[in-house]
Amino acid sequence: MAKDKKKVIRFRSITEYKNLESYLNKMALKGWMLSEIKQTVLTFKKIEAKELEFNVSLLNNMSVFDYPDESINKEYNEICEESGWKKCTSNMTYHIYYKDKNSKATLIHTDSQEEYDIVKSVYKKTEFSNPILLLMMLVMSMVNSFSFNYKVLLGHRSLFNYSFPFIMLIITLILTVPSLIWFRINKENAINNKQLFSFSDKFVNMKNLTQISLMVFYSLAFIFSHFSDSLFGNSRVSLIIFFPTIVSLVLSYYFSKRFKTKKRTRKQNKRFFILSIIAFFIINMTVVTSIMFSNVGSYGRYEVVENKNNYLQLKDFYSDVIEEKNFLESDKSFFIKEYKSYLSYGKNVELSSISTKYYEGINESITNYIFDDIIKEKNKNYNRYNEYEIELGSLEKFEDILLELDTKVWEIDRGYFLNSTKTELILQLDNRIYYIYASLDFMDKSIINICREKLNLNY
Amino acid sequence: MARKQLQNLTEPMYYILLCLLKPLHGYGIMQEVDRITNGRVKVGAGTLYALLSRFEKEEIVIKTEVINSKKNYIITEKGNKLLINEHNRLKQLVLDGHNLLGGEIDGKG
Repeated sequence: MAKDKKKVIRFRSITEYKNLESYLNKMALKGWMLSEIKQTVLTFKKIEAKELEFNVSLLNNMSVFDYPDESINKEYNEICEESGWKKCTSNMTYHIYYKDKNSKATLIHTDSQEEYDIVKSVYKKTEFSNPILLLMMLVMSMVNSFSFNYKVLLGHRSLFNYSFPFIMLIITLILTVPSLIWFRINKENAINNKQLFSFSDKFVNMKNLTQISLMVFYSLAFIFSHFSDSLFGNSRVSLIIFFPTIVSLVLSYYFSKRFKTKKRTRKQNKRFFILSIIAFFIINMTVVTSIMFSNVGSYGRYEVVENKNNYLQLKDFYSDVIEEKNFLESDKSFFIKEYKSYLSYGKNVELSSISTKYYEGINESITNYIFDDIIKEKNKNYNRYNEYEIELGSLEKFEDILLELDTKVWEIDRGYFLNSTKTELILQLDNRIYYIYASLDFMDKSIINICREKLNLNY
Repeated sequence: MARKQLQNLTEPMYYILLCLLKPLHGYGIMQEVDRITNGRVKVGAGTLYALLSRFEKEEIVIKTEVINSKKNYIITEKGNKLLINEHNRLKQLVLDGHNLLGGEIDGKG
């Protein structure tokens, strides 16, 4: 960037137009004059430091679908310039004028009610989605707060997905609440023709810095959680997440260039936009689903080729297994050192598959929580699916079929059978949990020994 | 909201309509209001533009000719009626005040 030009990223609400004025005044004092204003980027050019007074005027008679036509605002510009203001720059919404601080010129907006009305009208057109987004995040946060379970802790992606509404709630609160307060206070001021209230520059700067920091944090967390998530199996599949976002950014850049470089009517531009969005949606769904379905065999799982010691295989119990295949899903997070889910299946008369799940928490509290929550989930599902039979008395209650394992024989801290046929069990040793599901007699000592040997329960 | 507001005019609205009894362009209106009120009432460019747009929409003023590449405005029949009603209302206000305050204007008896 040349020394006589600089760009500043600045997020702002329409209700912060007075803070923008004081910011531009300060920049002029430092020798920087605004030359271009875009949605979030201000471009400054180097000038001799001057004491200027800026006046931000809001006009919103153009939309993103309009070809930029300066003649629409020609009359407005003329009146402002005749009354002593010089045009600095403008975009669709902001028209910025300035004068020497000592020169006398009537302010561009002299009626509080009119000023309030125009800010409200512009806010409705440009930031109307913020309160809606706030409400959505509030509802999602409430739903999420009631749906926390152990599965959230198993991977970075699940942690991110769970915490997403809470982070977004904070961001949307910061985005929306100050503006709503502005409208509340100034509604009265406008009626009484008092000068409109605005937040201090310090408050606005702090608010915007917090907002930007949270958005950067959220973006980094999003990228980290998806690329570190081995549940997807490979990063090619993870890129599905970014495909719609990247294409949206490219499309919005293209629309912006197309609408602003050739004069067409608003109706023509809107029609083109709607058709493009429909086409984008169809292409997006086609690409994403075809990637997902082409990887369905390995989606979330991949075949284990090396001989791992901490899961059960069919051949551990039967030597005549044919075409045995072993699949693994694995993950980890800040709370779980390791989560692995194995499925071993093949052709065998007595046994067709064994499922082993392994959870290792970072400490005992986390591990205990996961253990208890797995049992809670089993209890809930059992009661939900067998509600009628339990009421009739034809099926036992879950607490009656939950049978403790012999901890001395297994040499574990605790464990339970989770079904009446004793083919599903869970056991905990220190920070490790094993969940096993197979049609084996887990009361048989030889079976128990094979399990202990294979699952490293000897230490 | 706009329709309700135009039944009772604010000061800037009242003076702008007064100025438009004869054709006048934007900045001319601002200067004339300043002159009539001896600087007491100031109408900014943004405020004037917003009010003129609203008046045009309500058919209270219309654009007339373009002189020296400047658009001129003038009050319509409808605007004239509104202005006269407002003027009469304000006269009545002053009269009622005069009667009750017993002729005390500016603290003088």
